[in-house]
Amino acid sequence: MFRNLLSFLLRSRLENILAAGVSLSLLVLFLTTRLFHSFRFGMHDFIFILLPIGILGLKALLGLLSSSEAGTEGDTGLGRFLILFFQPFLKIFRDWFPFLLLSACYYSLFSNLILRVNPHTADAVLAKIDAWILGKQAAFLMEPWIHPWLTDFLSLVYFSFVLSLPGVALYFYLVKEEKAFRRIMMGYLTLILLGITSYLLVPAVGPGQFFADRFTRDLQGQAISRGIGYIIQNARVSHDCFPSLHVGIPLLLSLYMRDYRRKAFIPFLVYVGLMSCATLYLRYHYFIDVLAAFIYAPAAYLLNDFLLAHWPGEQRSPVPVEPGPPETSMAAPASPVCGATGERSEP
Amino acid sequence: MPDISEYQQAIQVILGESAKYFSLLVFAVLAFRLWRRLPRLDGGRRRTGLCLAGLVTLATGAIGYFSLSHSLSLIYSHYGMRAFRAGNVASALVLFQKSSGYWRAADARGEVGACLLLMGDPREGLPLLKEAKAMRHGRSTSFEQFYQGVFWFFQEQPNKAAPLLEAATDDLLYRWDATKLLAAIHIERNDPATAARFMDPYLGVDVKESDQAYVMASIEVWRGRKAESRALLEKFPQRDLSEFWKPRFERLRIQAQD
Repeated sequence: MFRNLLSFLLRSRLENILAAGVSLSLLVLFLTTRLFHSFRFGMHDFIFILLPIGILGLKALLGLLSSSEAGTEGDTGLGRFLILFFQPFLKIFRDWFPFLLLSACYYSLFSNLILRVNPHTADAVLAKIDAWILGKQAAFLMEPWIHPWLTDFLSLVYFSFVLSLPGVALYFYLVKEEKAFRRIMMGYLTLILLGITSYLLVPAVGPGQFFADRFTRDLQGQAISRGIGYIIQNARVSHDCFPSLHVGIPLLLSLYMRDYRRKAFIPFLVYVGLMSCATLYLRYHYFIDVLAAFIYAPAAYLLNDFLLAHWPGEQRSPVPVEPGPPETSMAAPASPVCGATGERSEP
Repeated sequence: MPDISEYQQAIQVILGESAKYFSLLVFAVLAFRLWRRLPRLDGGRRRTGLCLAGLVTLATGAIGYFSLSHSLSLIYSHYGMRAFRAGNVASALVLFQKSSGYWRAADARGEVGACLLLMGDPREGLPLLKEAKAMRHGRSTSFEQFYQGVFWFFQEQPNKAAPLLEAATDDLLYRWDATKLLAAIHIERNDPATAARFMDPYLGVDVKESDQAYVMASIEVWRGRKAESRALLEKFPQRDLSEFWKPRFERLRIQAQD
């Protein structure tokens, strides 16, 4: 029985096992401690993962509405008809739900445990490191460049982060590059896990709050910045500075772009550069947070590939090579585990 | 400072509405496909298909009806709350009643109850507030607690008002008003020390309202600073005060003169 269970677990997808494991641990933690009484559901960035799920659901509905199965519809039994009808939704659920659940668990864990693991904020230390590197705080160095349109533009760049990962994941899902999709989502969750562990150990509020009384100039944002500022102020996870996942996640995506869509690699790097400027200019992060993102993102990329390459379930179900757009055939997979994880390999 | 609870509520509403109407669409498409499939069936399969198509159509209608009712209830409740916060209690009552008519939710019942209380109809208002609390298995919203507390306070029943106002202080929206009334209750109970402790965080706030003036002037008298108390009371002439505050200010003016 135990062997059968173990064998079943090892044959399952890695994200399913992780999602089940993390949510069960979370449940046990909350049921056995007082956290259960003050539990706050962390519905932060993960709600943006719902956006592609909604789009895919609507697409499936439109497909069902417009498809004509005149020849086969009447021939199938009722049970088979219902199975065929709900199949697209079940597939979307099966492919996306583990990621949604993991993301929700991470953020819930973070929202409820922040400052319980380490009650001391690390802003002073991070600011000291910045001063050592730059001679001054990055946010102060950027004060002379403050301009309303620049604030609006960089606010838009900063906010576009919440759409970048769901957008890229949705794209790969729609072009049916399922392995690329899963690798990107797993990489994202690995990076989030590393980031959240770091936030719990090194909590910091960011220069905007830490130096609030020392800034000599307001950011002078217009309507766009104020609207985005409202959303960020309310939706943002507190004490989430080190590392900057706003930089880390686009950087991770750019690494995947290098593997799957080489033409998009440079534009993504430009986006990473803009995002780095936005986090510093808008006073959300210290310079060291941005630097740390350049360590965390490659680490998550390598760790994720290592996990996928060594998880028995991934190796037992060899992935079919899927046809992709012409440009993808030019892309040489940089990852040493691409073969194992099923990505396209160089002929 | 934006209110985080409003943001979270907005997200919850968006998610809830999306889920509702998506399920409606799924059922509608399923019903459409079941009806479209019927002409190609024969005999027993046709009968089963017909039954299922009818059932799914009925379910679609039911989901559509309940989804729309629920959405309309939310919309009326939202506009009711806007009217209430703008001080139009009568308009708010009508909107809350409409909301409650579309969807018999605990919040809508409580909101109607609170409006009735404020309009001087406790005979109808209090049972509705009790009903809302029972529907939530003994839990009231801060809105209900605060306005019930205000009602009992102005009905000269501080023992009933105090626990409700104390509970309402958990909500940032009502904290300031509830604290002032709680401090007033402690002053009435000859416990100005507790009232002063309540008002400590707000000492720098400009005195603009009669309840605040009553509390602050009483605290000044208790501290022996009668001149400051008199200065505060002079800002609120007797003729501008409501019937509730007139005798209290009168008594305080005498104490401040002594």
